[in-house]
Amino acid sequence: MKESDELNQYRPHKKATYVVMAVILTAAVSGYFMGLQQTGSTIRERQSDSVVPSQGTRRDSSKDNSRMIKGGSNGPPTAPSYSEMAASDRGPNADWENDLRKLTRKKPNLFKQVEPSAQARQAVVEARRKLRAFDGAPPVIPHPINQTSSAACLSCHNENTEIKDRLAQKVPHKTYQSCTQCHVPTTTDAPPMAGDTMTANWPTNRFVGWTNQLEGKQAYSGGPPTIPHTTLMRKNCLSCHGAKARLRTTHPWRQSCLQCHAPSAGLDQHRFLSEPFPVSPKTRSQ
Amino acid sequence: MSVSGLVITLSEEPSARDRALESLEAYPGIERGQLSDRWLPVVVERPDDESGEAVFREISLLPGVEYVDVVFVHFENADTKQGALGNGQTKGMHGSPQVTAASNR
Amino acid sequence: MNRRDFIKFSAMAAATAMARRKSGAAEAGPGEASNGEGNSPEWHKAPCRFCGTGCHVRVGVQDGRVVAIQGDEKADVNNGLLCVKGYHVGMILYGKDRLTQPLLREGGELKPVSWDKAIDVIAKRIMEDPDAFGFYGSGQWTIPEGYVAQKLMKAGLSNNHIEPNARLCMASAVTGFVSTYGVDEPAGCYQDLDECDVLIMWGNNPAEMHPVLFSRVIDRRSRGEKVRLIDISTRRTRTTEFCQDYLEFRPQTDLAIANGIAHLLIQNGTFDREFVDRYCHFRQDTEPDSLFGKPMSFEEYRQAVAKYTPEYVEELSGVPAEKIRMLGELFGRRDLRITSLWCMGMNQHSRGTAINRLVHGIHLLSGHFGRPGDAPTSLTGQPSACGTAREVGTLAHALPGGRLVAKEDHRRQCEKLWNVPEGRISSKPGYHTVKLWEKFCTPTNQGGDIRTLFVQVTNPGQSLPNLHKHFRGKKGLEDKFLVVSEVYPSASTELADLVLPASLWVEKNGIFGNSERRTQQWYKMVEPPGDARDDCWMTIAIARRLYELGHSGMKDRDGQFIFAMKNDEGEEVPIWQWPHYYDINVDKRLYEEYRPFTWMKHKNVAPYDELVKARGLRWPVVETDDGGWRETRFRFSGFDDPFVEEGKRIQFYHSVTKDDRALIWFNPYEPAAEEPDKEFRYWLCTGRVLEHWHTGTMTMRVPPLRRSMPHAYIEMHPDDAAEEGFSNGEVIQLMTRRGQIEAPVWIEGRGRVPRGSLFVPFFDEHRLVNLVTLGAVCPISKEPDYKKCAAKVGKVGSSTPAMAKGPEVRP
Repeated sequence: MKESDELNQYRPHKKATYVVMAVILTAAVSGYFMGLQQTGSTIRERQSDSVVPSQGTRRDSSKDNSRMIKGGSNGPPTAPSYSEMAASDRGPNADWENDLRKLTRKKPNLFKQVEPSAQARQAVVEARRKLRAFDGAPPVIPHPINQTSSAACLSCHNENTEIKDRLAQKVPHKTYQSCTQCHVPTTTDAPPMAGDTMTANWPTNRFVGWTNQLEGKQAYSGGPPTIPHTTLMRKNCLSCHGAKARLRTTHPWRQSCLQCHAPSAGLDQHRFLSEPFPVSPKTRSQ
Repeated sequence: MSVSGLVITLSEEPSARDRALESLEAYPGIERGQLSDRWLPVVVERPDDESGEAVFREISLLPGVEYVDVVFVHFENADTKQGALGNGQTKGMHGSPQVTAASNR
Repeated sequence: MNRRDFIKFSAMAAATAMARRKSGAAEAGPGEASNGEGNSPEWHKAPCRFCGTGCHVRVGVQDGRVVAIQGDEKADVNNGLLCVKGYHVGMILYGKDRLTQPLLREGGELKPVSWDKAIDVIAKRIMEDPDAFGFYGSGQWTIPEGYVAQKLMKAGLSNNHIEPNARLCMASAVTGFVSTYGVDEPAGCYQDLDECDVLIMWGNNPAEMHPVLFSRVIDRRSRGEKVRLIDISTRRTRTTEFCQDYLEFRPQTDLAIANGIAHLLIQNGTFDREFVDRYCHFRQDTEPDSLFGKPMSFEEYRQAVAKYTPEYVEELSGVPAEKIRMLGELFGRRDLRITSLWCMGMNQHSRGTAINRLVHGIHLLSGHFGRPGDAPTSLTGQPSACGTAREVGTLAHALPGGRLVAKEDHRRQCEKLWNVPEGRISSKPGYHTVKLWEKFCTPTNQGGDIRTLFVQVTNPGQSLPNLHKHFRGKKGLEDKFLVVSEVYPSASTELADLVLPASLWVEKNGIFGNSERRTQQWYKMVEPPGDARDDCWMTIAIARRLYELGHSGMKDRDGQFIFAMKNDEGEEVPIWQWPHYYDINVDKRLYEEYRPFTWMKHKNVAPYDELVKARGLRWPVVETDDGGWRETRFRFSGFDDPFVEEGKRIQFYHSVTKDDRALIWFNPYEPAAEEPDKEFRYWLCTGRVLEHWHTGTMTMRVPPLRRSMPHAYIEMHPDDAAEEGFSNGEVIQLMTRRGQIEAPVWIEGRGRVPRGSLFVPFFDEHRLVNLVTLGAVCPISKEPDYKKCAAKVGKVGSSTPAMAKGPEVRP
């Protein structure tokens, strides 16, 4: 094929391209000026808006992201004015939040009556066991992670964070700095290998982990149950038993759990008489 | 319904102890726990607390039984069901230090 | 459980508790069901099986099986915290394919045989040619295991061909300590990590390799303390994320960086003149290199390091001159406490001894030594690299307690302690690890004079460098015989002629020694599976068989079997018969026999009974006036070390120069043994990952760990990958002059290499990176360099057919 033929072929397309470009240009210019015309009132209204939207003014479904879609009190969302963009802190994204901690959340109702059901509880306990090799093992991470940063973990796990139907539980122990030291993803982030039969064929393991009876002893019906598990690494009771948590206590408003619920000295390594401390000088207090 | 937890102190004499264990087998509604030396924990379930008390007296009289401690009683009679304590009353006696804590409800 | 059942349950619980209390059962030991935790396991103490940190775990045992693990809150090392491997350490016992019976290769296949037969086969091989026998153990040997092997070889067979795999990981640290202080092992302890203001990590990634120690430092920040972390490394790792400074250097140029710091200290006049005048001499290497070198004056030293100006160091290393100045200034400040931390980055180095000496040198020169927080500290990768390999001296040139086979007085002392005739111990050092395996893989008629090799608690088929040469060469050599004691099928059992099933961790009694001189004891808690038996027993049983076959070396001066043991009634116990092995505590007897060896170098380890009570004790452990035992945290420091003379601040009492002074060495920068060139244009570094320990024999059988990190990968810079046309996850070929492997590329993954660099972890037996690594060793320590060689990459199938894929180890 000759070169000129080739060019001829493209000619009709060229005309179409001019038309499309003209349309786009017109739209862009008019859009820009329409944006400039918008008054600052919308922006002022946005700025005075409280961080937590007043209850009842938003539709339920948009509660969690209500601050992303802003409009008049009931009207449709309005685009911000371009003229104001440069002046505002982070442009139109000033109050967009990608930090999950800062999303508006339902306040948990501490006083909601709950009727603990054995089945629901069992389901939670089962789900919990799936992530642990034995009672007391650090749970594995059921989602992909940032391989090199621990800071990312706390953006959700700093508080009990509800994300749709999932709950990112608050860290129940004091926050160590290096999360991945103990918690590893249950599936790797490393790229999978196609046809990798060698890895898949690793023999399984016969280890049977200890599962605690997971039921506190009550001295009598209605008495406060003892804590059936170790409190080692589980010092923050509300992480699992708080108002949002799956194993919710019937009385989440009470703060001092150990006042009524007794931990176990045996499980918590406090049975000093049968297991004395090392005889070496305690070195930390030199 | 009445449920009581008892600790039966058996005779130190082995044959008398075996006899007592045998006669306990014959009692309906008695659940035996694990024998610790000569102390046997049992749970007795009866429709009401009167018959519960009767069992307690009967067991005390069995040959080979020295005495019986009551460590746990739960009763739930028809007339107390609507009572102030809601749907049941439980009393702990003797024993366990946990018993002293107040109701958490 | 319905309500009625629950009430009945409560009633029974109350009644049972009361019945037990009355019978006195409630006063029984830990783990009893009486305290309200129903099915709680019984808890025992043990050090973790994995790295050299030496965390203590509480092992939950129920119905004869390990069922749970907790961090031990009473342990000073870890204060209740573990890492993900430690939390799952109990699962290593229960991999489905545990070896449970001795297997002998017949007609190319491994077939079950009896223990009697197995022991007999080994003993007869040894009898045939005692000098052609080699013993290859590891830093995972317990102290008694290493001690019996050592005694069998040196006092029994007069054969010095005994080596631990620790040669591959710790030898350069040892030569560094010995040539600097005259005696091995760190002076400081983990308390340095609590008290330092600056922590410098030299080619070290403790966030993954020693996570508990790393947390010990960074968790100080949660308490509001300030600690400055400096990462001097050749790639970004999880550690880097926590560091204020990241200094990326060209591989091998750490030598130049250390010299650059020394130069700045002298040029700025900020070195510690008083410390140097009172406690140090200067040294340089001889031609050829030697352990103790030759003296040099301060002036000569000054001139030698003067060349290493920040600009010159930048030119060599790529680290900006101002960062070198920053390090120089930090070391020049006496108000700061500076701890240096290193592990394999400095040890697995073709100039490993040199870089170890240099880092000790800048600490001594700047006086950052001997105060809590001021310490050059080397970490170990294995649980008893210090305790067994280094202290028991299970090396070709060493004897227990820091002694050397080459020294006559040392041999006489050992012969006396072992009660064997004078002259029993050979004065000629045996082969170091790489040489030992080279000899084993060389045909006998071509000088391969090691014919039978017994491997315990390690996996050389995966961990030796340049495996084609040092391990696979054995294939087809008919008169070579490889015995492997293992817990699982591995790359080593694949070539073994005899496989012995071993007990693992808490299936046996044991004693480890961790990185901070801490000796740790544990008791057997569960039975080994099937017919698996203790490594210690195997060695004793072989010795006994040799005794029966009439080997004269198995008798001491009095004609007694060298491992004869008596019970408390004075009757001899036939411990070589497995049913009688646990009639007495063999571990305790061996350890107490070993203890006097440790006194010469003032490494006095604690009595066994004290170890039983403690979560490890750091030697030297000395008896106090009130009959107690006191451990030592800071060696050579007057305020803590009982062997430092009264009134002295610092005393290097095993000094090379016999005048209580340490040596500050000068060693020049020298290029690596193999550097990238036009064809092989990448640096290749190997190492570990958080989830797996060493060759993965144990951790790959722990599902949570394997799921998190199922296979090895090739870490690559995105620009390099783009240039080569690789996408993330694509399986590629990696080639060196020694072989090739295939593995997927991982870009922006766990670590981040600079351009022109690759990193591959070595835990994956299906992707054996050691098929391609270099066998070059440090001339003094004989430790191989696993961190540097030249490699190239290509699409799969781009080069000659694969020379070697991973081994098929499944039986």
